[in-house]
Amino acid sequence: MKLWIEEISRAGQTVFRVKENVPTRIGRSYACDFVVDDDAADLTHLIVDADEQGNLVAVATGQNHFWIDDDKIPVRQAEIDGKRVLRIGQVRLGLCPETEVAGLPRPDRGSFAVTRRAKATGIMLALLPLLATFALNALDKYLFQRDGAFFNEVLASTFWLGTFVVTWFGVWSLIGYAVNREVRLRRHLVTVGSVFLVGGLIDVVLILLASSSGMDMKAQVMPFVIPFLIGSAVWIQMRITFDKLSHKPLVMASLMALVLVGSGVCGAMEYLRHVDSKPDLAPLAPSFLRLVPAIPRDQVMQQFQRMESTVDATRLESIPERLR
Amino acid sequence: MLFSEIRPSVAILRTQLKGSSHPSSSGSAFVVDGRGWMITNFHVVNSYLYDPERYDLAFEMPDGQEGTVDLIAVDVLNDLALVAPRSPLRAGSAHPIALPTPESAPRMARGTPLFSIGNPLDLGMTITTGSFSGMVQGSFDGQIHFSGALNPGMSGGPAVDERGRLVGVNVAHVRDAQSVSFLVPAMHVTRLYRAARQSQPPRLAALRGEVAQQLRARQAELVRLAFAEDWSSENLGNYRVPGFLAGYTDCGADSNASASAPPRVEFRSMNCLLKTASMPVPDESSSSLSYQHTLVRLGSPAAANSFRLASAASNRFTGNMSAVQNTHMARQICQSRFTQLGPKQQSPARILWCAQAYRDFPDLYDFQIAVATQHDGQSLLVSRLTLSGFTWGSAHEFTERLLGSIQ
Repeated sequence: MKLWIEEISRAGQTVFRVKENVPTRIGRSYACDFVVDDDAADLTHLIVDADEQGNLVAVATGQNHFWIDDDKIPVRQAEIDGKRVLRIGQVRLGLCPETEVAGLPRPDRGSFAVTRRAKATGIMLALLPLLATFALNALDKYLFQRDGAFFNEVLASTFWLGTFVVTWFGVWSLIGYAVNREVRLRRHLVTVGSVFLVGGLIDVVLILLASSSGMDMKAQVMPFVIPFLIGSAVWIQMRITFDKLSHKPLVMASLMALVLVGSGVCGAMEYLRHVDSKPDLAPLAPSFLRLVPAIPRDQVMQQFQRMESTVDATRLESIPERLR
Repeated sequence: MLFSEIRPSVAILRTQLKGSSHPSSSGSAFVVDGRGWMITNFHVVNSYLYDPERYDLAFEMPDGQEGTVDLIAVDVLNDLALVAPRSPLRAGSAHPIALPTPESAPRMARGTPLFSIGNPLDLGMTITTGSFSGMVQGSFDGQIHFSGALNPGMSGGPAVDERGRLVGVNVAHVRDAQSVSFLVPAMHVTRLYRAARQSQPPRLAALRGEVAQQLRARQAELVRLAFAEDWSSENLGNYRVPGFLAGYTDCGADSNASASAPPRVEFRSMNCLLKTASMPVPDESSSSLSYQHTLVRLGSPAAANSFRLASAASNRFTGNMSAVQNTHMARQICQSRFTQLGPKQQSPARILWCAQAYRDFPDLYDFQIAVATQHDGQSLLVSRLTLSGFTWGSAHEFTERLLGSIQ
């Protein structure tokens, strides 16, 4: 009898693999004999081994469970024979006689298959957003600091970013290894890279918008964006690292609410702290980037006049504690 | 001899925290009448005026008499204050220094020896020698240029001639310069004393109102002078900018251009400063005016880049626009708009204005106004105007005139 496993990959293709050695470990971890890419499966979800009579028995690890055929009742242990099919999410597991192995469906060409090579490629691909972030950061500095100090600016800033990223991965690697005995580098890379990329894009767009149109929103927007992005990254990385937690919608929703509230509070505090800071922007961008029309001088002077009452009102504000 | 005659009339005046015998600052003062009333500088006593719950004004006479004083009158514009001891001085302990009248005021030629007495750095009463070097040239305030050493702590002390006649009051010195100091002419002391000699100590709130009124009058006078004549116009690259104002401004020029190593972005600037300032509240100069025009130009065609030009101009545009951070100033508020300048109506311009209100003076503000304009892709002009202690109307007038003068 041969042990077979079938799963529907994320791309919707059927993956079919056969194995004859036991014990066989099945789960999402690369350390397993059958690696499945299904969020319903735990790192090492179950182990198939022969009992004293030589029957193959599937035993769920830890708090996990699985299903048999179309039953709705989860089980933690079951004997596998040619008639039963075990289920974990989209994954099906069964036995068939050796003579029937040749008749089992073959995997589609190009179908998902988790191999060591695929993992390396995945990591390389996952690095792309991160590399794009470095490039974006350099572009940001290049556009607005192109003078004698350019290299110092870019290198110093990239070095800072690199140091931060390395530290960030170091911490998550340690947590991941402590919890799962694996780092899950690819997913962390994609998450952090994407978050940095989004942050960098928002930053560049705000700078261009401000220097071209005078809409100085960077100081107002970034204090909210930065904590939100960092919070989101932490939230996703928690999902990646803590499997049990990631299957609890209430917990994850509460954590996301915490991120939203936290970034709102952090942003508001930062905004209030710098509310009287000046726009740090290029005064006039090249004409092709100028988005808003100029207003006549007399209108400018009217707006200048109108500001008097706003400034007068500041006299009534209490003196900040730091100045007392 | 002169020192021993004058010294008994000169006191050390200290601003000290209530309940503490240690001074937070110290200056000098001198007795001008038999009641022991004394003249000092306004900047010696202004901490007390704005924070009487926290500070006391304490004096110490050379014979050891000590006590506290009340503030009687102030002349912010000339940096003078009149104070009165709360308990009378011992009879005969101090000989008042006679105040000059227009008739009795000493007529001095440049080079006339002068002697300044005070308490430098709280080290004890000393006398320094120097000479009269005329009135300060082109100054709005009309101070005496004293070629002698004045040090912190001597502020408020008397300066006399060889016959012991009061010539002025020690007020300031130029930092990092050798013996360039200033005195408030004695006639201002006479005027202040005569106006206040019958007064009782007023409430400090009333005195603060008086300070505000004096500052308003001063800034109004500055505005009147600034707009009395058409502004002169000067070329800066292919832009025209306002030059000297009212004859009281000091202007200088600066550039980073170098023949040996041409910069990628060249700066040429003209900086002008109105030669006047008072200090109505601690750590804050007021009724001052300065402006700066900077031409930012790309150094070489190979380096031509619009972003670089905008980036280089950015620091000149918003740099040093920081707000004053103390308990006397409210927070700063800024706004920025795009507009058009000049008769051509084709030069885009960005204007940024920041205003900060004085908490103690209801209608006075500090303003910082920056204007950036660009005729072509190779150069950009940044103009900055700084007004301290002006009314909103005055700032409006200055800003409008500035915008209209840049071409």
